[in-house]
Amino acid sequence: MPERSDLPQGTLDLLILQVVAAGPIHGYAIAQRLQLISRDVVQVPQGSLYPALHRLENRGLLTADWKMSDTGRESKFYRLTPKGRKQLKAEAASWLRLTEAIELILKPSGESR
Amino acid sequence: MMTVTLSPDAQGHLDRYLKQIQAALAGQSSVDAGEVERDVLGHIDAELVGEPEPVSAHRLLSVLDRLGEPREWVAQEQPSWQRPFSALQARPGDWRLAGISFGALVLTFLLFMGPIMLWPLPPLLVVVSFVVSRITIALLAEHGESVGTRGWLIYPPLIVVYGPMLIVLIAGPAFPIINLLSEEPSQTWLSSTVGLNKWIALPSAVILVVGCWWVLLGIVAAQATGMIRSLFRPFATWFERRHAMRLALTGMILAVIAIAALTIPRVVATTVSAQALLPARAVDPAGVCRCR
Repeated sequence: MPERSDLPQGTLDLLILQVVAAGPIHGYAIAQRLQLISRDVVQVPQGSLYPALHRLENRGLLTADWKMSDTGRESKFYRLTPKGRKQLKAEAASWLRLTEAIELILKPSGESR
Repeated sequence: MMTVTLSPDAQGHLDRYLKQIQAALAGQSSVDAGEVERDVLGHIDAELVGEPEPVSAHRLLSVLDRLGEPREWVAQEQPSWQRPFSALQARPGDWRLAGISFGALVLTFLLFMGPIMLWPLPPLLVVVSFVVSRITIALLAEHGESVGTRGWLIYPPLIVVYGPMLIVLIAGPAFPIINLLSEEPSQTWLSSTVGLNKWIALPSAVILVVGCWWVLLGIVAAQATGMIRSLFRPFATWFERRHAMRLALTGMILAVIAIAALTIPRVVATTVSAQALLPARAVDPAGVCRCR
């Protein structure tokens, strides 16, 4: 079983935007998708997803419509807005820059061992 | 809306969980607690569909466990009134808020000294500079930054407010008592009541009142050290219960000294006069008898 880590603060929004970017999706499916993609390495309390979705919707990064899901229940389907797409692009680029910088810092000490 | 039926135990757990959600999201302006609750119910329902009904508490708890503690779902939101200030204290080493605070105080002094006071602007500016200083300190603490040399701008507005506050708190009822005893009838009444010269009676009475006030203040402060530290933040971070107890003890000593000053001269005077009268009483009856 892989060792689980807490999600770094502020990255949940980025992950949600990334998952929603693939197409309209409801909250429960996002939770499943996140769990699947992270392969249980990243620990995300599934409940934290819902306030985050509402927050992103209020910020105009997501838009939502109530539709019937595959299971026959009415669910809220989220889509990325143009503003959300722009935000995802900017945040993803920033995240990649940050991880590259951290990797650069950590590499020399790792090699010296 | 739940489509699955829960056992009474499971229903109890779910009700408690929904209350936790409401409590955790209360005051969060960016989310609607009711909508989140509906989404979470939908999530639980989707997880439990196909389970043998009524769904047991054990099965429900495993779903709730994955959902996590509602209070951990949202980061503590900054109060809306603090946001504009945060924008002015956004960067490390930012001097803007400190400058605004000190600027408001300087403007107050300029208005006081200038030809036009623009009443009530000066006291309002004092309040503004004080509030901005306190917010700056709170934001710096939040960002893990030290006040550093910004203290030269941040502390003066605080001292202007804390100084008088401290004097009023320490002096307590001394000012009204002094004011009352400054009038001749009160002085005469006190002197005749305690039977002492007013130059001993008046200071002793004031010291007694202040001593009793310090005892009371010390006892209250010992129970509310956190409140004192917060009231005089950041200057009272050192304040502890023992300091409050020292104040109460000092007050007690002052009160005892004042009581002694008010009573001992009278007791001494009574004793001395009683001793002076004793021989005369012993002789007088015999004299009376001889006369008869």
